[in-house]
Amino acid sequence: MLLELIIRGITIGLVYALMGVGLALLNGVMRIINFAHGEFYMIGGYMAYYSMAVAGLPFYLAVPSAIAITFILGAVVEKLLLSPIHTQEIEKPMDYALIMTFALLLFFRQLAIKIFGPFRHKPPDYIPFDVHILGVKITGNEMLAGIVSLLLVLGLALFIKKSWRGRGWRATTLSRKGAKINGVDIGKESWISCGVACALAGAAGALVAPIFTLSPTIGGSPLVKSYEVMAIGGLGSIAGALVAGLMLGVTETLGAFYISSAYKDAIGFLMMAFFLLFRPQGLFGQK
Amino acid sequence: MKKSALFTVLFFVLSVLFLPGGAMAADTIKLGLVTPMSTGDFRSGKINVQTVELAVEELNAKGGILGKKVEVVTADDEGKPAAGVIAIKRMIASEKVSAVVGLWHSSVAVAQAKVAIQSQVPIMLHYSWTDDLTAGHSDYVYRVGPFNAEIAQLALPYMKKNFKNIAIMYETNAFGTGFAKYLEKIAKAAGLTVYSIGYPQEATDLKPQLLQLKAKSPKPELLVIAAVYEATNLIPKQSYEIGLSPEMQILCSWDWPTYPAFQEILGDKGVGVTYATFESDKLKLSPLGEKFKKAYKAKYKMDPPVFALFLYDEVMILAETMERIKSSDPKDVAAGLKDTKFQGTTGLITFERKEEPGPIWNQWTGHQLFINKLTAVEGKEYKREEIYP
Amino acid sequence: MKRNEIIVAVIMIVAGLIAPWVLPSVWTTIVSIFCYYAILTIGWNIIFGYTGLFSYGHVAFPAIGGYTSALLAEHIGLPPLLGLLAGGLAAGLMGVLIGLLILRVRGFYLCLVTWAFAEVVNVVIKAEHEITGGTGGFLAPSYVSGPNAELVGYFIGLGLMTLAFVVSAILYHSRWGLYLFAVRDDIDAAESMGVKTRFWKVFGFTAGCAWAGVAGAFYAHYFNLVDPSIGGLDEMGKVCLIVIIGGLGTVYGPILGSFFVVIVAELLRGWMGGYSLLIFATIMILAVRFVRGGFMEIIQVVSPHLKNKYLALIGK
Repeated sequence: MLLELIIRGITIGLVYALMGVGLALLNGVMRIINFAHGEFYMIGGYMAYYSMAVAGLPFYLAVPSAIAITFILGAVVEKLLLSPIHTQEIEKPMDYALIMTFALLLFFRQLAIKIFGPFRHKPPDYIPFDVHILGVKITGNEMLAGIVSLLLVLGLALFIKKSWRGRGWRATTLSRKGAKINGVDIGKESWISCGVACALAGAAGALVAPIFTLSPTIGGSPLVKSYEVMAIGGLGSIAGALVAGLMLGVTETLGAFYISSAYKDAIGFLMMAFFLLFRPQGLFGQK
Repeated sequence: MKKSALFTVLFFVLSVLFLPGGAMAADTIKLGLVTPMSTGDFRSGKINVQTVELAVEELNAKGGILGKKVEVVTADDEGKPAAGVIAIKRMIASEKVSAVVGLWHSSVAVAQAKVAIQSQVPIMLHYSWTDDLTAGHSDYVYRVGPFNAEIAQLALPYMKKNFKNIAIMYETNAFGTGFAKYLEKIAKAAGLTVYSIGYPQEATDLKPQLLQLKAKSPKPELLVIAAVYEATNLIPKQSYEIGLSPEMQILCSWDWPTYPAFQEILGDKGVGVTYATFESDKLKLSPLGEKFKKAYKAKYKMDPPVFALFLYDEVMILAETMERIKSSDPKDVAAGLKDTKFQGTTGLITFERKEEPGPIWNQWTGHQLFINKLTAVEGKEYKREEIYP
Repeated sequence: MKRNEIIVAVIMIVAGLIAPWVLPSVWTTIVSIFCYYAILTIGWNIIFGYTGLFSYGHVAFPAIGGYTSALLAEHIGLPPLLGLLAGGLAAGLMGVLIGLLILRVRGFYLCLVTWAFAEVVNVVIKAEHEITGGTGGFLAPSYVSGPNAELVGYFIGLGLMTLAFVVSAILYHSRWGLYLFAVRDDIDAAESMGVKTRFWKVFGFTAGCAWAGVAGAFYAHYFNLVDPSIGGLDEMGKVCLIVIIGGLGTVYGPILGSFFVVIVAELLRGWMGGYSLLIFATIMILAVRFVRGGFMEIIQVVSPHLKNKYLALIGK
């Protein structure tokens, strides 16, 4: 049973990591609290569903198209609604972003109820057979979600480490002013990074759509999880987010089993509060 | 300084005073529909709205009630007690409705029932199961739908006959907890082993709870799911994914497997799932029920769930009562309802009153419980077979 | 207290006393909800507006206050009026604990820690459903039994709101208020001037939480029910919205904001049915995006003269 729990914890943890990485990136570059992050997860899931069930695409095209759509949507939201944070000097950018993204959360959720309808949907299984890992049966969907999440997180880490743009983002995370002086176009980098962050959330949503199925209100729990991952891993740290996601996934699954399933959601919050209070730099950060 | 303060407060007071008044034309009869539409269980709320709209269309096509047109006034209770109380008050005070139907979440309905009793307007409950609602013995609260204790009693013989160890997974709300506690009590008394696990109603990852069941010994042979909606699809799916089913049979409460979503989500894994319901192929729906089912399917492209039948009955009972007593005054309607004898969609509906304390008060108790099993999948629909009684 | 604040308080009471006799009965409920939000947001305004601590877990405290009062009434038969006090005390005590804990963090981190706290409270309420009734909520007795229960509840709400308003106004003009502002505006300078910043941070946080607890207890006994939805994330968003559109860190902010979010929204909502939240969200997005100053900027557009009056009124 222990082995089964750990394997399940790792699969879900990789998806948590994918969500958290996007948020960590966005927070690094824009320094805002984004409450609408989970809604992009929901939209990504629905886009994958419609590409498969309505447009008839195979899953390996449906998931990328969901990612592309959430990227565009994220970029548009940034351009239209969040850009005042850096184009005009707002007195309290955090309040502005908080209220704005909260309004977006309400807006997307209510719109989804009207457009997608209230009933649950599920795209056809991506991989319709089960896989046995060390004697534990997991579905092909879960395996796919885990592997693709891992690849996306590693890909992003590589991109941030190696490319010029990624370095620009890192510089912005360290010092906005410094990055600006050295020629980083904050406005442009903001919308690109916001798009990427939303696309990662959309990817997570699309990947787990056949596992957790879709409804307009599914955005809440991934939002919470991604904040937990970000806080545990340290703000703006990609490697931290990956390890934190795995840690959260495994701890939660074990805790729910051995301690109490009713308190499963409290575990992540307590870990988050603990890290913020006593180790605010996160897992790997230095003071 | 003083002026500006006065100005603000004046604005404050004036805008409250200029409210839309309550004076309404008396040439229509109004029915209030208060149900969750934007948050809470808005899925079921949508079905409630559709059902009442269909019923009222039908009434108006036949010339309305007492020669007047029937109008539905809809309000969203957001699944929250505060919003629900405001919604029902607005119905009663400004819209002057003759009765209110469609109340949904038990927790909200408990608060709303108080308002209705105080303002002496009848409410009819079609699928809020908490015993408390009718246990208050009020003259203004009527329930066509079933209640927790009744359902548990009806389902027990089936479980006793076929299983030794059962598990119950329930939502931790008034309905789920109430039902699970009662079933656990009577099942234990009948010699069954019972594991019960609660979970919050909005949970989507139920594998931790299912894994706990998987580790239990002796293994549960039957899982009863006491849920309103969300989890009825997710629990069977996740139970298969972790390899707990099909060894463990699943009994869904209630006829959610007849929804299109169930087929989409479970596919051929849904075969073998059982569910409890109040209609069956043996108990033919009354002609009224058949007619409604057909009309509903034609209009909304799905079979009506069983609570839609009860809600439809309620609207028809109200219409019949008003015709019978020749009045649409809420107080008269409330008094008239208790003499109801209505051939409803699933049986003859009368309201029973038992003087001793308990939920049987203005309560229809004629529900019959059936258990169906999904036996095969054919295209987009399951074939089903009645296995109990 | 300034003279115009006294006038506003008196007018609020007078208007509130007249209202039940001239308005349809549904408005006593709506105004009671207004009172609930006003008390709750006055609390948050003390925490964030006065002391500068961005608490995103404020809605946990009405839940604590409400459940405390309702559970005490159920198990030891505490009268609801004392329950208001008990609820305030319980929330205040919890406020001290959390306040001490969050001395370690600032800004963004503080926001997340308090949010985590609120969610843990929510999880505990749902998990301990044997005690709390789970998502279905827990029944609480009315202030008085009988047909006047509702009206009595309304007057209690009105009284509490006025009291909260008066207390926050007195605090605003007092020496204690100055300490809180000093902590908010420049904590290092305040420290070097000999202000005990750690003490005042915890004080501001606790005061706000205690009011939230009172609000929660009031809600529980007014609706005869307390359920986890009062501690949800969307409620917290509402609290932020109210204070920010009303005027952060001002005496009138929470009152004006609650007026707009509860009463004006109710007037506009009418019978929009299931679309009200969607429309509300759209208005919120447009308002925040294009009318950044919120209410103030609208006044500016209507008349610059009025704006000065408004600014003078809210004391800026």
